[in-house]
Amino acid sequence: MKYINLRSCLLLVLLTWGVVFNTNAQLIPTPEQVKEVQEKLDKIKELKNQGKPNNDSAIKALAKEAIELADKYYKIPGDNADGEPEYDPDLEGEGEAELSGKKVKVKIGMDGLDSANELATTKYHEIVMHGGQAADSPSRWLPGAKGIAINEVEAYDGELKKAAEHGLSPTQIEEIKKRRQEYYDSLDAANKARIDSLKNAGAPYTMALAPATGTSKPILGTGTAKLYVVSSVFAEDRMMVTIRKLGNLANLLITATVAGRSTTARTDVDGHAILDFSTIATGITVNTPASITCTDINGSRLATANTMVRPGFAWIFDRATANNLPTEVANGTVATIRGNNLGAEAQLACNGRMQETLAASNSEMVVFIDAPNGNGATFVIGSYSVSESRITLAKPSTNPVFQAIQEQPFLMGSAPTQKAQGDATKKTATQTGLGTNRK
Amino acid sequence: MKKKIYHILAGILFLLLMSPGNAQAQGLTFSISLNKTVYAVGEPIVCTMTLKNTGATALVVNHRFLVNNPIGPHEVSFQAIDPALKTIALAVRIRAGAQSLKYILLQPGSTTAKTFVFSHYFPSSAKGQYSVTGFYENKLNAPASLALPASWKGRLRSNKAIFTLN
Repeated sequence: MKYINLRSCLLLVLLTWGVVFNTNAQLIPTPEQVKEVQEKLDKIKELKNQGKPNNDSAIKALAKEAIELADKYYKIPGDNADGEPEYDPDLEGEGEAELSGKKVKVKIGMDGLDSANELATTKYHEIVMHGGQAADSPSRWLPGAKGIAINEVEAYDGELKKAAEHGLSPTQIEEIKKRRQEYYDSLDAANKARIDSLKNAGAPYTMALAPATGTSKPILGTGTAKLYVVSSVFAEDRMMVTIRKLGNLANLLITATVAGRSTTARTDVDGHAILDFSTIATGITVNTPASITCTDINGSRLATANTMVRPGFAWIFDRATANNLPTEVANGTVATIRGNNLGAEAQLACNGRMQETLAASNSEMVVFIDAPNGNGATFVIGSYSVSESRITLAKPSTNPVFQAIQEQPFLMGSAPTQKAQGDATKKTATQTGLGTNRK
Repeated sequence: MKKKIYHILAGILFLLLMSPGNAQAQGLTFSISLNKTVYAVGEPIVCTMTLKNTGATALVVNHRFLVNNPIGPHEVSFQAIDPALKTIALAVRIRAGAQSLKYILLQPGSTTAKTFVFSHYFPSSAKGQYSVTGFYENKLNAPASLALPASWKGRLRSNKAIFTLN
């Protein structure tokens, strides 16, 4: 009996300690502390009701005090912040994070001063979540529309995890869930599944797309020079084009001519250039053919292609749609994807790897396929959004030069020699400097 | 009978004119302007966004002018093109809700505007010519607490602003 009582007492002590420990671990500020922050914010509201502007000196002083108190009482780690978050009277929304090295500079807007817990959850969103992404930049401070969506889904998931500690109301939680869902819905199915999986594993949300390999240069840069363009472009749009030929690809002159007016651009080291049709075609009222030429530094014409300029412009901020994502692709070939809102910087992702864009406009893109063999998700990352995805089978290339390069990936990006083109076998490629085996 | 048909047609015409989402019929324009045309690298580039009621009737408009990536909550998104003709990405992450609380009744001929530091959102240091186009969009009515009629809904494209970075 004594033993049972002793064991019960020990259990009771352990339970009590556990409850106390757990309470301390939650870092919930005391009601008095919340009240202290809230009083500052209520004073701001009073001043606003009196007609004071957001940049009123008294409002700014109160905002500063409230922000500092929220740090102290809600114990929000500031390791990822570059300086103390500042109140910005001109900022629309609750908060803003700007990348600053491996940290974030955080600003709090008037909407973030609505209540003590709104301020706390906003700071958590910006400093801990976006700040954490910044600390792992560039791998987790993700670029483009897709990257922003993944970053925001992760930041709102972080807020939801801390909802109890920050004392968020059911209405606030619903609003956070709604915002999270909107960003989540902007992603393609494959990325949604990836985020779900990472969330369940408690792992950071990452994009996990390998960069394009650059194999189009040795594969397409053979024989006669070829200029890759898309078949149509809006009059007020841009078009990305690519030249493929033997030898130097940089600083070649690309000229587009529409109805007697011309615009030019120079190629980069990879043979890519972007043409701005708005400078020559704005105002056209009917479909108008255009010619695009590539000339070398001596003015010799290397290649010519044609396109059609359509009147008007695109609502580029609508979600990218890809109408003909393929069910299967062959590596080493060129594919054409048609859609809307793709943009001159559009890229195709296939089986976890970005593909090299050869030409792109709002409505079409031409892509060199070099994806890991097998089934995987394919989708378009447009200039401002991500298309839906589909499962695509990437089949091995039948091109012996491509096969040779695949086996010696350190060669990617270097143009093959003439000899290698003539006898494109693995053996010849190796003999001619298409590669010395790295082993 | 003719009179009855005339009344029906007049009614249909009235409903068409009153229907929301017709930017032309409702006469709202969106424009942007920069404080200078030539800037030194690092100098703040200040942009003013303006909505103008060019129609004959007052309009309820959302004038929060939240600048953000188009996949997030926004009233305004920008296409900023650098000297290499590539788009400049929005440099900040913004926490905001879709529902604006800033709606006003804009009288015919009146404007509402907001100024912001463009270079903070779209930083760039490459020298050369840049072009900027803004896209305004509103999908929601004012919150009930503001007791305003249905708002103007639709999207508008601004003029293209050009500047040079030296």
